[in-house]
Parts: sequence; structure tokens; C-alpha cells
Amino acid sequence: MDHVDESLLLKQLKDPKTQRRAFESVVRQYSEQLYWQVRRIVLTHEDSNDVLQNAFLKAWQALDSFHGDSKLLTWLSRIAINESLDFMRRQKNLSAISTDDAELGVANQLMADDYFDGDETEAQLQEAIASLPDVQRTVFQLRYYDEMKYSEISRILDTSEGALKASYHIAVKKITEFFHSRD
Amino acid sequence: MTNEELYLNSRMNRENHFRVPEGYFDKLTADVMSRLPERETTVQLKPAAKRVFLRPLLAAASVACVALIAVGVYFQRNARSADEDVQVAAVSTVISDSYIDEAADYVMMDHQDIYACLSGDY
Repeated sequence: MDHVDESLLLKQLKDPKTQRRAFESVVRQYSEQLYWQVRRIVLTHEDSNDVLQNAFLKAWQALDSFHGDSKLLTWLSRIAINESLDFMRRQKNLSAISTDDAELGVANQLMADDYFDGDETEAQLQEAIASLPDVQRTVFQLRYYDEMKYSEISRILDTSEGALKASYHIAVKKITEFFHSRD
Repeated sequence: MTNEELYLNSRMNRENHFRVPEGYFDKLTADVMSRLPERETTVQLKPAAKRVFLRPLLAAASVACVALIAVGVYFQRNARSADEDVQVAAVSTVISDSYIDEAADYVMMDHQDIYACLSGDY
């Protein structure tokens, strides 16, 4: 994939004549990476696709508010992760008022999902991660799976690096306890 | 790296067990773009260099309008009748409005912006 120079891209995004084509280039360049950030929070493919589409729509509508103070990917990640967290909150609210039978745990849902090919241990690990508070879980996933620097996560989540390190440390501890409990 | 992180690395891998439908990413860009509405283009001033140039231009335009009106009124004053008064007012109005409209079209500003600019409120 060709990586267009970001400063040139920003210029094109500001110009109404080239804006749409430039945004298409942005989507092409970053959509897969953003998708996986969303998927690790939202878990199912269908929901992840919906969240990602909404995130890009919001980014498109808010283009004028992006002034290049941060990297484009940081700005997009912020939108995508906020969309993901909002989605999860709405899901929790729906679950709270649901009159259906007790819902399946995350692990059982993943094992039944055509788009998950891990074994039961992996599914239960995902359940352990999903049980973390949303922001803590996000910090863990960005740090552990995306190997993102704390400075970058700080810009995405608008949280101090110190708070992020503490949050990550707690998340690691909890997941370690998950593994110990299975030993 | 803490002991817990080391332990985690030994028990976990970063392998991704989530999957997507075949061809999903190939079609994703087109799918996203098809859902984006046309952006409303707001009338914006040209960049600063041209914006600086606009002020003298508008000032000159307004001075020219006033001068034209004043000249028109002067030459018409002694000779005009009551009917001519109305005609002069109409012509003056036409001149000033059409001139301003033309200037507004040229600089892509609406009347409010021009008035604000002239009054120094811009």
C-alpha cells in the first residue's frame, strides 16, 4: 500500500476540490488498522463493521476540526475507539433492560462465531479481557496487541501516561490471575 | 518488563484469532465512501494573502460607490424635479446595489460579510 505523504494529504483534505479523493486515500490506508482496534473491543465482525463505518462518517463530517496537531492515525483512532466504547456502553444498557434468558458469556459467543477460530482457552482469554473496565481494556489492547507507545495512547485516550501505565499494570495483573486460575 | 508481563508473554501470543469475511478489506474502502454524504461547502475567504488584499479592494469599491453617488447627486441636484428625484434615488440605489452585488460575487462574500468588513467587525 502506498503511503501518501501526510502533509500533502492534509492539504488535499482541506481543499474541497480534492477532499473526497484524499479521504478515500485515508480510508484505504488506515481502515484495516482501525478495524482491528475496533474489533478487539467490540468482538463481532458485524458490529465492528458498523462501528467502523460510523467512525469514518464522523471523521468525514469533522474534517474541518482536524488541524494537523496530531498524526492523522491518532485522530482517527480516537474517533474509532470512542465509537467503540460508546457502542459497548449502549450494548450494556440494552443488556441491563433485556428480558431474554441469561445471555451467553463472551467465551460461548466467540466459540459460536464463524469469524473466530481460536480454541476454548483463547475464547476464555478474550472473556477475561472483555471483563476489564472498558478504558482499561482498551489500554491493554493498544499496548499489548498493537504495541503502541504510551505517548501515542495518551493522545488517543486523552489520559496521562502515568494513568495509562497504572491501568496497563492492573490489566496485566488481572489477566495473569486468569491464567493462574486455569493452572 | 515486569515479571507479570514476562509471564503473560510466555502464556499468550499476539496471534489474531478473529477473522473477517473473504474480500472484506478489498471492498471496505468503496463501501465506506459510498456512505459518505457530500460535504456542505461553506464559503470561505481565500488564504490570508488574498484576504489582506481584499480589504483595500473593498475599501476602494465602497469609496468608488460613494463617489459615484455623490457625483450623480451633484449633477442632478439643480436640474431635477420631483420625478427626477425618484429616478436618481432609484439609479443611485441600482448603481450601489449592483456594484456591491458584482463586488460581492467577485470576492464571494455575502452582504453581511462586506458590511462587517467595512465596519471593522470582521
